[in-house]
Amino acid sequence: MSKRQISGESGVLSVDHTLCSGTGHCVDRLPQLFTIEHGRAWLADAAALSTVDTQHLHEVEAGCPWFAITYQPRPPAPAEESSPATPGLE
Amino acid sequence: MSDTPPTPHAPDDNLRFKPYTAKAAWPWQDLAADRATCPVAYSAELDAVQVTSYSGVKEALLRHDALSSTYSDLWPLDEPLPEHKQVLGASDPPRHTRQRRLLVKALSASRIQHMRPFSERLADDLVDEIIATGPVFDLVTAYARRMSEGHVAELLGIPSGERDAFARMAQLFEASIEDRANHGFSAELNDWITHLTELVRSRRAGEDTGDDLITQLCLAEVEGDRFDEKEIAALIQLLAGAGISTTQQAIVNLVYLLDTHPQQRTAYLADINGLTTSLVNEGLRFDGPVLGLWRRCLKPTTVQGTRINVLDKVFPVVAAANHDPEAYDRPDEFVIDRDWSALPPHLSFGHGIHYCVGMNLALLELQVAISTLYRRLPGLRTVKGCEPRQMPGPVVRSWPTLSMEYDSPAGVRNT
Ligand code: SF4
Repeated sequence: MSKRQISGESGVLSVDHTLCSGTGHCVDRLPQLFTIEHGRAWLADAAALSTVDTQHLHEVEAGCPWFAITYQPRPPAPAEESSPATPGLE
Repeated sequence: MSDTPPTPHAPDDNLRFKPYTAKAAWPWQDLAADRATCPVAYSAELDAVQVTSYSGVKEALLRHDALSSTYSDLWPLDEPLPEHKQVLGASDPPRHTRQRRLLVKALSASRIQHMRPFSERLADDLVDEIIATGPVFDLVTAYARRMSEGHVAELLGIPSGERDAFARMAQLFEASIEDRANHGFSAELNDWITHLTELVRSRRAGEDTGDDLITQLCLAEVEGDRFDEKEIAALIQLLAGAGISTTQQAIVNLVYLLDTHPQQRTAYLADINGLTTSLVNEGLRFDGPVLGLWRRCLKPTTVQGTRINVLDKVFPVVAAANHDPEAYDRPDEFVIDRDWSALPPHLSFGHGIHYCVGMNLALLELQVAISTLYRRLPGLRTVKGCEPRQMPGPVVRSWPTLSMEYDSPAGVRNT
Protein backbone atom coordinates (compact mmCIF):
# COMPACT_ATOMS: atom_id res chain seq x y z
CA MET A 1 0.00 0.00 0.00
CA SER A 2 1.33 3.44 -0.77
CA LYS A 3 2.01 5.85 2.06
CA ARG A 4 3.25 9.38 2.72
CA GLN A 5 5.61 8.34 5.50
CA ILE A 6 7.56 5.18 6.25
CA SER A 7 10.05 4.36 8.94
CA GLY A 8 12.61 1.64 9.20
CA GLU A 9 15.92 0.88 10.84
CA SER A 10 17.70 3.57 8.85
CA GLY A 11 15.25 6.35 9.67
CA VAL A 12 12.05 8.04 8.57
CA LEU A 13 11.21 9.04 5.00
CA SER A 14 8.24 11.22 4.17
CA VAL A 15 6.62 13.14 1.29
CA ASP A 16 4.73 16.37 1.91
CA HIS A 17 1.75 16.43 -0.43
CA THR A 18 1.13 20.13 0.06
CA LEU A 19 4.45 20.69 -1.74
CA CYS A 20 4.87 17.68 -4.06
CA SER A 21 4.06 18.56 -7.65
CA GLY A 22 4.47 15.12 -9.14
CA THR A 23 7.61 15.77 -11.17
CA GLY A 24 8.87 12.20 -10.76
CA HIS A 25 12.52 12.96 -9.98
CA CYS A 26 12.20 10.66 -6.94
CA VAL A 27 10.83 7.80 -9.04
CA ASP A 28 13.70 8.27 -11.46
CA ARG A 29 16.24 7.86 -8.67
CA LEU A 30 14.56 5.26 -6.46
CA PRO A 31 11.79 3.44 -8.33
CA GLN A 32 11.76 0.75 -5.64
CA LEU A 33 10.61 3.33 -3.07
CA PHE A 34 8.51 5.90 -4.94
CA THR A 35 5.52 5.82 -7.26
CA ILE A 36 3.39 8.60 -8.73
CA GLU A 37 -0.35 8.39 -8.40
CA HIS A 38 -2.82 11.19 -9.10
CA GLY A 39 0.00 13.65 -9.58
CA ARG A 40 1.72 13.05 -6.23
CA ALA A 41 4.58 10.86 -5.04
CA TRP A 42 3.80 7.94 -2.72
CA LEU A 43 6.08 5.65 -0.77
CA ALA A 44 6.27 1.87 -0.96
CA ASP A 45 6.10 -0.41 2.04
CA ALA A 46 8.47 0.25 4.94
CA ALA A 47 10.35 -2.97 4.19
CA ALA A 48 11.71 -1.37 1.04
CA LEU A 49 13.43 1.36 3.07
CA SER A 50 16.03 -0.97 4.49
CA THR A 51 17.05 -2.04 0.97
CA VAL A 52 18.20 1.48 0.11
CA ASP A 53 21.55 2.97 0.99
CA THR A 54 21.21 6.03 3.26
CA GLN A 55 23.39 8.04 0.87
CA HIS A 56 20.72 7.55 -1.81
CA LEU A 57 18.03 8.66 0.62
CA HIS A 58 19.93 11.90 1.23
CA GLU A 59 20.32 12.35 -2.54
CA VAL A 60 16.63 11.82 -3.26
CA GLU A 61 15.78 14.36 -0.56
CA ALA A 62 18.18 16.94 -2.05
CA GLY A 63 17.02 16.18 -5.60
CA CYS A 64 13.34 17.02 -5.07
CA PRO A 65 12.72 20.36 -6.81
CA TRP A 66 9.80 21.10 -4.48
CA PHE A 67 11.61 20.19 -1.22
CA ALA A 68 8.74 17.79 -0.56
CA ILE A 69 10.88 14.88 0.62
CA THR A 70 12.28 14.63 4.14
CA TYR A 71 14.67 11.93 5.28
CA GLN A 72 15.53 11.80 8.95
CA PRO A 73 18.21 9.25 9.65
CA ARG A 74 17.85 7.32 12.88
CA PRO A 75 20.68 8.13 15.28
CA PRO A 76 23.16 5.25 15.52
CA ALA A 77 22.41 2.80 18.32
CA PRO A 78 24.74 3.10 21.31
CA ALA A 79 27.73 0.78 21.17
CA GLU A 80 27.23 -2.50 23.04
CA GLU A 81 30.07 -2.19 25.51
CA SER A 82 29.02 1.28 26.68
CA SER A 83 27.00 1.61 29.87
CA PRO A 84 23.27 1.06 29.48
CA ALA A 85 21.52 4.12 28.15
CA THR A 86 19.74 6.19 30.75
CA PRO A 87 16.08 6.52 29.84
CA GLY A 88 15.18 10.08 28.95
CA LEU A 89 18.73 11.12 27.96
CA GLU A 90 18.75 9.75 24.42
CA MET B 1 44.76 2.12 -22.38
CA SER B 2 43.83 5.54 -21.05
CA ASP B 3 40.74 6.05 -18.91
CA THR B 4 40.42 9.70 -19.94
CA PRO B 5 36.99 10.31 -21.40
CA PRO B 6 36.95 11.63 -24.96
CA THR B 7 36.48 15.35 -25.53
CA PRO B 8 33.87 16.51 -28.02
CA HIS B 9 34.97 16.72 -31.64
CA ALA B 10 36.83 19.80 -32.75
CA PRO B 11 34.35 22.61 -33.47
CA ASP B 12 31.96 21.15 -35.97
CA ASP B 13 30.76 23.46 -38.74
CA ASN B 14 28.69 20.71 -40.23
CA LEU B 15 26.20 20.55 -37.41
CA ARG B 16 22.85 21.62 -38.80
CA PHE B 17 21.32 23.43 -35.81
CA LYS B 18 22.11 27.08 -36.65
CA PRO B 19 19.92 29.22 -34.43
CA TYR B 20 21.96 32.41 -34.95
CA THR B 21 22.65 32.37 -38.65
CA ALA B 22 19.86 30.25 -40.15
CA LYS B 23 17.17 29.50 -37.59
CA ALA B 24 14.74 27.01 -39.08
CA ALA B 25 11.01 27.51 -38.54
CA TRP B 26 10.81 23.81 -37.63
CA PRO B 27 14.22 22.61 -36.40
CA TRP B 28 13.39 18.96 -35.60
CA GLN B 29 15.07 17.45 -38.66
CA ASP B 30 18.24 19.45 -38.12
CA LEU B 31 18.35 18.49 -34.48
CA ALA B 32 17.75 14.82 -35.35
CA ALA B 33 20.62 14.93 -37.82
CA ASP B 34 22.92 16.47 -35.19
CA ARG B 35 21.85 13.87 -32.62
CA ALA B 36 22.61 11.12 -35.11
CA THR B 37 26.03 12.65 -35.88
CA CYS B 38 26.96 13.03 -32.23
CA PRO B 39 24.63 13.78 -29.31
CA VAL B 40 27.38 15.63 -27.40
CA ALA B 41 29.28 17.71 -29.96
CA TYR B 42 31.16 21.00 -30.08
CA SER B 43 29.11 23.41 -32.18
CA ALA B 44 31.01 26.16 -33.99
CA GLU B 45 27.76 28.11 -34.40
CA LEU B 46 27.09 28.11 -30.65
CA ASP B 47 30.75 28.05 -29.61
CA ALA B 48 29.56 25.52 -27.05
CA VAL B 49 29.08 21.84 -26.38
CA GLN B 50 25.69 21.07 -27.86
CA VAL B 51 23.75 18.21 -26.23
CA THR B 52 20.84 16.76 -28.22
CA SER B 53 19.82 13.35 -26.79
CA TYR B 54 17.14 12.88 -24.13
CA SER B 55 19.50 11.10 -21.74
CA GLY B 56 22.31 13.60 -22.42
CA VAL B 57 20.16 16.67 -21.79
CA LYS B 58 18.80 15.14 -18.60
CA GLU B 59 22.30 14.28 -17.43
CA ALA B 60 23.64 17.77 -18.21
CA LEU B 61 20.76 19.40 -16.32
CA LEU B 62 21.47 17.21 -13.30
CA ARG B 63 25.17 18.20 -13.29
CA HIS B 64 24.58 21.49 -11.48
CA ASP B 65 27.63 20.85 -9.30
CA ALA B 66 29.90 21.26 -12.35
CA LEU B 67 27.74 23.03 -14.94
CA SER B 68 26.99 26.41 -13.43
CA SER B 69 24.02 28.66 -14.13
CA THR B 70 25.67 31.78 -12.71
CA TYR B 71 26.92 32.93 -16.13
CA SER B 72 23.17 33.22 -16.94
CA ASP B 73 21.05 30.46 -18.40
CA LEU B 74 19.66 32.80 -21.06
CA TRP B 75 22.76 33.99 -22.85
CA PRO B 76 26.42 32.96 -22.86
CA LEU B 77 28.12 35.64 -20.78
CA ASP B 78 31.88 35.75 -20.35
CA GLU B 79 31.66 36.63 -16.66
CA PRO B 80 29.32 35.45 -13.95
CA LEU B 81 26.37 37.75 -13.27
CA PRO B 82 26.74 40.19 -10.37
CA GLU B 83 25.63 38.44 -7.21
CA HIS B 84 22.30 40.20 -6.76
CA LYS B 85 21.31 39.17 -10.27
CA GLN B 86 22.07 35.53 -9.58
CA VAL B 87 18.50 34.49 -8.98
CA LEU B 88 16.78 31.14 -9.46
CA GLY B 89 17.57 29.84 -12.96
CA ALA B 90 20.69 32.00 -13.01
CA SER B 91 22.08 30.83 -9.68
CA ASP B 92 23.78 27.82 -8.12
CA PRO B 93 23.32 26.23 -4.70
CA PRO B 94 23.38 27.23 -1.89
CA ARG B 95 22.05 30.63 -3.03
CA HIS B 96 19.61 28.93 -5.38
CA THR B 97 18.33 26.55 -2.69
CA ARG B 98 17.65 29.41 -0.30
CA GLN B 99 15.68 31.37 -2.92
CA ARG B 100 13.77 28.41 -4.21
CA ARG B 101 12.74 27.23 -0.75
CA LEU B 102 10.84 30.49 -0.34
CA LEU B 103 8.92 30.08 -3.55
CA VAL B 104 7.90 26.44 -3.69
CA LYS B 105 5.02 26.72 -1.25
CA ALA B 106 3.31 29.57 -3.07
CA LEU B 107 3.83 27.81 -6.39
CA SER B 108 2.97 24.25 -5.35
CA ALA B 109 0.24 22.33 -7.17
CA SER B 110 -2.05 22.44 -4.14
CA ARG B 111 -1.83 26.25 -3.86
CA ILE B 112 -2.04 27.05 -7.56
CA GLN B 113 -5.29 25.08 -7.92
CA HIS B 114 -6.97 27.87 -5.93
CA MET B 115 -6.25 30.21 -8.84
CA ARG B 116 -8.48 28.24 -11.23
CA PRO B 117 -11.59 30.46 -10.84
CA PHE B 118 -9.44 33.56 -11.48
CA SER B 119 -7.89 31.86 -14.48
CA GLU B 120 -11.23 30.86 -16.02
CA ARG B 121 -12.69 34.33 -15.49
CA LEU B 122 -9.70 36.04 -17.08
CA ALA B 123 -9.79 33.75 -20.13
CA ASP B 124 -13.51 34.42 -20.57
CA ASP B 125 -13.01 38.19 -20.21
CA LEU B 126 -10.28 38.18 -22.86
CA VAL B 127 -12.38 36.13 -25.28
CA ASP B 128 -15.27 38.57 -24.68
CA GLU B 129 -12.96 41.42 -25.71
CA ILE B 130 -11.84 39.55 -28.82
CA ILE B 131 -15.49 38.99 -29.77
CA ALA B 132 -16.31 42.65 -29.13
CA THR B 133 -13.55 43.93 -31.41
CA GLY B 134 -14.21 41.75 -34.43
CA PRO B 135 -13.24 38.52 -36.06
CA VAL B 136 -9.55 39.22 -36.80
CA PHE B 137 -7.06 39.56 -33.94
CA ASP B 138 -3.45 38.93 -32.96
CA LEU B 139 -3.40 35.91 -30.69
CA VAL B 140 -0.22 37.10 -28.97
CA THR B 141 -1.23 40.60 -27.91
CA ALA B 142 -4.99 40.08 -27.54
CA TYR B 143 -4.89 36.83 -25.63
CA ALA B 144 -1.70 34.91 -24.81
CA ARG B 145 0.28 37.86 -23.49
CA ARG B 146 -2.56 39.23 -21.39
CA MET B 147 -3.43 35.81 -20.00
CA SER B 148 0.17 35.39 -18.86
CA GLU B 149 0.58 38.92 -17.49
CA GLY B 150 -2.69 38.62 -15.58
CA HIS B 151 -1.65 35.42 -13.84
CA VAL B 152 1.75 36.64 -12.78
CA ALA B 153 0.34 39.97 -11.54
CA GLU B 154 -2.34 38.12 -9.55
CA LEU B 155 0.19 35.72 -8.05
CA LEU B 156 2.54 38.53 -7.04
CA GLY B 157 -0.27 40.69 -5.70
CA ILE B 158 0.40 43.71 -7.92
CA PRO B 159 -2.23 46.32 -6.99
CA SER B 160 -4.94 46.56 -9.66
CA GLY B 161 -4.11 50.18 -10.50
CA GLU B 162 -0.51 49.21 -11.27
CA ARG B 163 -1.08 46.22 -13.51
CA ASP B 164 -0.59 48.04 -16.82
CA ALA B 165 2.64 49.56 -15.55
CA PHE B 166 3.69 46.13 -14.32
CA ALA B 167 3.05 44.66 -17.77
CA ARG B 168 5.23 47.39 -19.28
CA MET B 169 8.00 46.64 -16.79
CA ALA B 170 7.87 42.96 -17.73
CA GLN B 171 8.24 43.91 -21.39
CA LEU B 172 11.23 46.12 -20.63
CA PHE B 173 12.80 43.35 -18.65
CA GLU B 174 12.37 40.93 -21.52
CA ALA B 175 13.85 43.51 -23.91
CA SER B 176 16.81 43.80 -21.55
CA ILE B 177 17.30 40.04 -21.78
CA GLU B 178 17.44 40.20 -25.55
CA ASP B 179 19.60 43.31 -25.71
CA ARG B 180 22.80 41.69 -24.60
CA ALA B 181 25.04 44.56 -25.66
CA ASN B 182 24.03 46.95 -22.91
CA HIS B 183 21.75 44.66 -20.95
CA GLY B 184 19.03 47.22 -21.60
CA PHE B 185 18.88 48.66 -18.15
CA SER B 186 17.08 51.74 -19.31
CA ALA B 187 16.14 54.58 -17.01
CA GLU B 188 12.52 53.40 -17.09
CA LEU B 189 13.45 49.91 -15.95
CA ASN B 190 15.66 51.32 -13.23
CA ASP B 191 12.72 53.40 -12.02
CA TRP B 192 10.70 50.23 -11.77
CA ILE B 193 13.37 48.47 -9.81
CA THR B 194 13.41 51.42 -7.40
CA HIS B 195 9.61 51.21 -7.20
CA LEU B 196 9.75 47.49 -6.43
CA THR B 197 12.33 48.11 -3.76
CA GLU B 198 10.02 50.68 -2.18
CA LEU B 199 7.12 48.22 -2.38
CA VAL B 200 9.26 45.71 -0.51
CA ARG B 201 10.10 48.31 2.14
CA SER B 202 6.47 49.30 2.66
CA ARG B 203 5.31 45.69 2.97
CA ARG B 204 8.05 45.08 5.48
CA ALA B 205 7.00 48.10 7.44
CA GLY B 206 3.55 46.54 7.67
CA GLU B 207 1.86 49.28 5.66
CA ASP B 208 0.58 46.74 3.23
CA THR B 209 -0.43 43.17 3.93
CA GLY B 210 -1.72 40.19 2.00
CA ASP B 211 -0.97 36.59 1.26
CA ASP B 212 0.44 37.34 -2.18
CA LEU B 213 3.88 36.27 -3.23
CA ILE B 214 5.59 39.66 -2.86
CA THR B 215 4.43 39.91 0.75
CA GLN B 216 5.53 36.35 1.42
CA LEU B 217 8.95 37.07 -0.05
CA CYS B 218 9.24 40.24 2.02
CA LEU B 219 8.38 38.60 5.29
CA ALA B 220 9.95 35.19 4.85
CA GLU B 221 13.02 34.22 6.77
CA VAL B 222 15.23 31.29 5.90
CA GLU B 223 17.40 30.10 8.74
CA GLY B 224 17.15 33.45 10.44
CA ASP B 225 18.10 35.60 7.49
CA ARG B 226 15.90 37.69 5.24
CA PHE B 227 16.24 38.59 1.61
CA ASP B 228 17.66 41.97 0.87
CA GLU B 229 15.48 44.36 -1.13
CA LYS B 230 17.60 44.15 -4.25
CA GLU B 231 17.42 40.39 -4.27
CA ILE B 232 13.62 40.44 -3.96
CA ALA B 233 13.37 43.05 -6.72
CA ALA B 234 15.53 40.80 -8.93
CA LEU B 235 13.36 37.78 -8.11
CA ILE B 236 10.19 39.68 -9.00
CA GLN B 237 11.74 40.84 -12.26
CA LEU B 238 12.73 37.32 -13.11
CA LEU B 239 9.33 35.86 -12.29
CA ALA B 240 7.73 38.57 -14.38
CA GLY B 241 10.12 38.42 -17.32
CA ALA B 242 10.55 34.67 -17.53
CA GLY B 243 7.11 33.67 -16.25
CA ILE B 244 5.14 35.83 -18.62
CA SER B 245 7.00 35.31 -21.87
CA THR B 246 7.40 31.54 -21.59
CA THR B 247 3.74 30.80 -20.92
CA GLN B 248 2.71 33.29 -23.59
CA GLN B 249 4.91 31.45 -26.08
CA ALA B 250 3.64 28.05 -24.96
CA ILE B 251 0.02 29.14 -25.60
CA VAL B 252 0.83 30.54 -29.03
CA ASN B 253 3.00 27.57 -30.03
CA LEU B 254 0.20 25.17 -29.11
CA VAL B 255 -2.51 27.08 -30.96
CA TYR B 256 -0.29 27.20 -34.05
CA LEU B 257 0.35 23.45 -33.76
CA LEU B 258 -3.39 22.77 -33.67
CA ASP B 259 -3.83 25.11 -36.59
CA THR B 260 -1.25 23.29 -38.68
CA HIS B 261 -2.54 19.81 -37.71
CA PRO B 262 -6.23 19.95 -38.71
CA GLN B 263 -6.96 16.30 -37.89
CA GLN B 264 -5.67 16.69 -34.35
CA ARG B 265 -7.61 19.92 -34.06
CA THR B 266 -10.84 18.19 -35.08
CA ALA B 267 -10.18 15.42 -32.55
CA TYR B 268 -9.59 18.03 -29.84
CA LEU B 269 -12.80 19.92 -30.63
CA ALA B 270 -14.72 16.66 -30.27
CA ASP B 271 -13.47 16.06 -26.71
CA ILE B 272 -12.07 19.25 -25.17
CA ASN B 273 -12.61 18.12 -21.57
CA GLY B 274 -11.07 14.71 -22.08
CA LEU B 275 -8.04 15.78 -24.10
CA THR B 276 -6.85 19.12 -22.66
CA THR B 277 -4.33 17.62 -20.20
CA SER B 278 -2.63 15.35 -22.73
CA LEU B 279 -2.83 18.04 -25.42
CA VAL B 280 -0.97 20.51 -23.20
CA ASN B 281 1.71 17.92 -22.41
CA GLU B 282 2.12 17.12 -26.08
CA GLY B 283 2.25 20.80 -26.99
CA LEU B 284 5.03 21.36 -24.46
CA ARG B 285 6.90 18.32 -25.72
CA PHE B 286 6.49 19.02 -29.42
CA ASP B 287 7.03 22.78 -29.35
CA GLY B 288 7.67 24.17 -25.89
CA PRO B 289 8.73 27.79 -25.34
CA VAL B 290 12.40 26.99 -24.73
CA LEU B 291 14.81 25.47 -27.23
CA GLY B 292 17.69 25.13 -24.81
CA LEU B 293 19.51 26.70 -21.86
CA TRP B 294 23.06 27.84 -21.25
CA ARG B 295 25.44 26.38 -18.71
CA ARG B 296 29.12 27.11 -17.98
CA CYS B 297 31.47 24.35 -16.87
CA LEU B 298 33.30 25.29 -13.65
CA LYS B 299 34.61 21.83 -12.72
CA PRO B 300 35.80 19.09 -15.08
CA THR B 301 32.93 16.71 -15.73
CA THR B 302 31.43 14.40 -18.33
CA VAL B 303 28.13 14.18 -20.15
CA GLN B 304 27.32 10.79 -21.68
CA GLY B 305 30.94 9.86 -21.14
CA THR B 306 32.25 12.86 -23.07
CA ARG B 307 34.61 15.18 -21.25
CA ILE B 308 33.58 18.78 -20.62
CA ASN B 309 36.43 21.14 -19.74
CA VAL B 310 36.48 24.02 -17.30
CA LEU B 311 35.01 27.19 -18.86
CA ASP B 312 33.41 25.28 -21.74
CA LYS B 313 30.00 26.61 -22.58
CA VAL B 314 27.37 23.91 -22.65
CA PHE B 315 24.01 24.12 -24.37
CA PRO B 316 21.57 21.30 -23.56
CA VAL B 317 18.98 21.47 -26.35
CA VAL B 318 15.76 20.67 -24.51
CA ALA B 319 13.74 20.73 -27.75
CA ALA B 320 16.01 18.06 -29.23
CA ALA B 321 15.59 15.85 -26.16
CA ASN B 322 11.83 16.13 -26.53
CA HIS B 323 12.08 14.77 -30.06
CA ASP B 324 14.48 11.92 -29.31
CA PRO B 325 13.13 8.59 -30.64
CA GLU B 326 14.76 6.88 -27.65
CA ALA B 327 12.23 8.60 -25.42
CA TYR B 328 9.17 8.91 -27.68
CA ASP B 329 7.55 6.85 -30.35
CA ARG B 330 6.94 8.88 -33.57
CA PRO B 331 8.73 11.87 -31.99
CA ASP B 332 8.15 14.23 -34.89
CA GLU B 333 4.41 13.64 -34.99
CA PHE B 334 2.06 15.84 -33.01
CA VAL B 335 -0.23 13.33 -31.25
CA ILE B 336 -2.62 14.90 -28.77
CA ASP B 337 -3.83 11.74 -27.04
CA ARG B 338 -0.56 10.18 -25.90
CA ASP B 339 -0.80 8.31 -22.59
CA TRP B 340 1.52 10.49 -20.51
CA SER B 341 1.31 8.22 -17.47
CA ALA B 342 3.34 5.69 -19.46
CA LEU B 343 5.84 8.12 -21.03
CA PRO B 344 8.98 9.79 -19.74
CA PRO B 345 8.29 13.43 -18.87
CA HIS B 346 9.10 16.01 -21.54
CA LEU B 347 11.97 18.28 -20.55
CA SER B 348 10.34 21.62 -21.37
CA PHE B 349 10.23 22.43 -17.66
CA GLY B 350 13.85 21.33 -17.36
CA HIS B 351 15.10 18.67 -14.99
CA GLY B 352 16.80 18.62 -11.61
CA ILE B 353 17.07 21.44 -9.11
CA HIS B 354 16.24 24.14 -11.66
CA TYR B 355 13.00 22.43 -12.71
CA CYS B 356 10.65 25.29 -13.63
CA VAL B 357 9.29 26.62 -10.36
CA GLY B 358 6.31 28.07 -12.23
CA MET B 359 5.30 24.71 -13.69
CA ASN B 360 1.98 24.41 -11.85
CA LEU B 361 0.98 27.95 -12.77
CA ALA B 362 2.01 27.42 -16.37
CA LEU B 363 0.01 24.19 -16.64
CA LEU B 364 -3.10 25.82 -15.20
CA GLU B 365 -2.78 28.80 -17.53
CA LEU B 366 -2.23 26.66 -20.59
CA GLN B 367 -5.08 24.29 -19.84
CA VAL B 368 -7.54 27.09 -19.18
CA ALA B 369 -6.29 29.31 -22.04
CA ILE B 370 -6.53 26.59 -24.68
CA SER B 371 -9.78 24.97 -23.55
CA THR B 372 -11.60 28.31 -23.19
CA LEU B 373 -10.36 29.56 -26.54
CA TYR B 374 -11.49 26.49 -28.51
CA ARG B 375 -14.70 26.01 -26.56
CA ARG B 376 -15.81 29.55 -27.35
CA LEU B 377 -14.20 30.04 -30.76
CA PRO B 378 -14.31 26.59 -32.35
CA GLY B 379 -13.85 28.03 -35.83
CA LEU B 380 -10.54 29.64 -34.83
CA ARG B 381 -7.86 29.63 -37.55
CA THR B 382 -4.89 31.65 -38.74
CA VAL B 383 -5.71 34.29 -41.29
CA LYS B 384 -5.03 33.07 -44.84
CA GLY B 385 -1.51 33.87 -45.91
CA CYS B 386 -0.26 34.37 -42.34
CA GLU B 387 3.20 32.88 -42.16
CA PRO B 388 4.71 33.60 -38.77
CA ARG B 389 8.46 33.83 -38.32
CA GLN B 390 10.48 32.49 -35.41
CA MET B 391 12.30 34.87 -33.08
CA PRO B 392 16.05 34.52 -33.70
CA GLY B 393 18.45 33.00 -31.19
CA PRO B 394 19.09 29.63 -29.59
CA VAL B 395 17.06 29.90 -26.36
CA VAL B 396 13.55 30.81 -27.38
CA ARG B 397 10.81 29.16 -29.47
CA SER B 398 8.38 31.94 -30.20
CA TRP B 399 6.04 33.21 -32.90
CA PRO B 400 6.02 36.94 -32.08
CA THR B 401 2.64 37.50 -33.80
CA LEU B 402 -0.11 35.20 -35.02
CA SER B 403 -2.98 36.77 -36.92
CA MET B 404 -6.17 34.78 -36.37
CA GLU B 405 -9.88 34.85 -37.20
CA TYR B 406 -12.94 32.84 -36.21
CA ASP B 407 -16.44 32.07 -37.39
CA SER B 408 -19.43 33.55 -35.64
CA PRO B 409 -21.35 32.88 -33.54
CA ALA B 410 -18.93 32.49 -30.67
CA GLY B 411 -19.72 30.26 -27.70
CA VAL B 412 -21.01 31.69 -24.42
CA ARG B 413 -18.98 32.23 -21.24
CA ASN B 414 -18.42 29.42 -18.81
CA THR B 415 -17.89 31.68 -15.83
S1 SF4 C 1 10.65 14.64 -6.75
FE1 SF4 C 1 9.51 15.78 -5.17
S2 SF4 C 1 7.96 16.99 -6.30
FE2 SF4 C 1 8.76 15.41 -7.69
S3 SF4 C 1 7.30 13.71 -7.47
FE3 SF4 C 1 9.00 13.29 -6.07
S4 SF4 C 1 8.34 14.19 -4.15
FE4 SF4 C 1 6.99 15.05 -5.68
